[in-house]
Amino acid sequence: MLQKQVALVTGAGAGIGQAIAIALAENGADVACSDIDEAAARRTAERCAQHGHRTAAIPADCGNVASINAMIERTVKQLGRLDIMVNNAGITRHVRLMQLTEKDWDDIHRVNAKGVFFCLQRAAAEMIRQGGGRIINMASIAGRGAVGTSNAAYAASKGAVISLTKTAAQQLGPHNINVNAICPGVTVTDLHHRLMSQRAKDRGLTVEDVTREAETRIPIGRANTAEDIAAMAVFLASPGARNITGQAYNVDGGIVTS
Amino acid sequence: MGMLDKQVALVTGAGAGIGQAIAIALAENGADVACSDIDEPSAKRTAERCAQYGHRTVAIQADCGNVASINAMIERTVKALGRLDVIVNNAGITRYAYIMDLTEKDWDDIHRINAKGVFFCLQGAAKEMIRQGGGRIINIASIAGRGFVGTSNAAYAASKGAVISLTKTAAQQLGRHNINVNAICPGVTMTDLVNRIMAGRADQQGKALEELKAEAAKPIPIGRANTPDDIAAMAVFLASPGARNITGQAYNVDGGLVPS
Repeated sequence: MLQKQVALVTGAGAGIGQAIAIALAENGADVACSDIDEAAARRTAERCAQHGHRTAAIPADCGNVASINAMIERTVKQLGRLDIMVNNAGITRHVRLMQLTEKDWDDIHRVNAKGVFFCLQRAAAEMIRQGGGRIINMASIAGRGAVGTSNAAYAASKGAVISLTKTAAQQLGPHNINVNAICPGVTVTDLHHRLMSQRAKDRGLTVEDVTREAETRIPIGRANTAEDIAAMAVFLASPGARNITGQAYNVDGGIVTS
Repeated sequence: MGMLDKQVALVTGAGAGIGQAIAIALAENGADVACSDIDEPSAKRTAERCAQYGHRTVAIQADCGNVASINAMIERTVKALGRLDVIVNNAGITRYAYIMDLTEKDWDDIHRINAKGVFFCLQGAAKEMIRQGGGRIINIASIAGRGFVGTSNAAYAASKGAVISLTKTAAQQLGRHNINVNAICPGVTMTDLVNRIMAGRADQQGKALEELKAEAAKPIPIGRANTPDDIAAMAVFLASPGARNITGQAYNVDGGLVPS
């Protein structure tokens, strides 16, 4: 479905980003895998390569504009073009509102909000030249008021991504660029496991206890795997989604209905 | 091998436009499809096109504003095709009218099918799905239900708002039965009906049809109206295995007219 398309996935070294990169490759795309951890980026690129398409592993800090520019330049140099940009890199930590420091806010917003903006802007510059493209931003139901979000600065950064998605879609539509966001709900990744461990420790419970507790709040009764998010990303990159833009789609088992 | 092999789908309003495109796309992806329409010959025509993909089909005449007719439609689907895994509640009506010109009859006619009909199709289908251990319910709403400025009429907008709200509550209450309930909100979609309306308007205004179409596409950020196939692609995705954790959502497919 995505033959001859070049995709760039940030934060592709683990979790949701890794699943998306692999799913895009599985559907025919050449995939550039970027991560702040070069070894992790390389591991994902190797798995993508198993599907027989070209790949690249690119170390990049998605909170640094020069690094973002270099990442996109390298993608185009190695794979020839850029059709699909998945802005997935993001960070958080488990912390209550009154404990959030200025450093927390700056660290989180540097990557999750400002980083997404400049990845989007620089990818769009390539796409405008080429006559179109698809931009997929990873937001979160935390940006839509999901109860259970621990970190208010994280929630704010994801709200920023959702709003940016809408304005960017309006302004980039004339260039045949679609901009959408995916808002995952509870998704079982290594990062999620670390957050749950912290939460369990705080409350004197086991990780299994807090996971089960989280699942009872999900109408469909199960947490996401990273593949559930990857399926949506592949759909949004596919020909059938050519008229979808400016949207933030929740994939959350019904926790937040919107 | 299709993504929806061995699944049975029922599409209401399958005789034309979006419903027809959805029925055909589901069949193309491997599903057995029951095509329902108030107009039996058009249901039959769509069923014949679905049958070209080599799966079982059935054409069912039904009035989706009548609860007895809805129940009979679902019964017949299960009898003919053995089960019910996917229902697409697509049947709907509208007419162009300014708010002050809407009559009680307009309100009743529109809400009978677009709101009450969707509810009882959903409830009847869910009964089968609970028995089977799960299913997918896809309601066709509209960006009219989300405050789109170009809506055909206010009663229609209200009926589509009802569908969006119903989708959320139904998802919450049917989740424990492994039933996913979602809505698609199409934007401007060039069905045969819309094409005919536009051709008429072009004649009236002494304009070329293409000129009128270009005007309609102007406010759309992506610069083009939907074809029915754009909506069908979303319906197939929502019915597919990859969408197993999507429920309670209303997804706009509108080229960015209403970002939400």
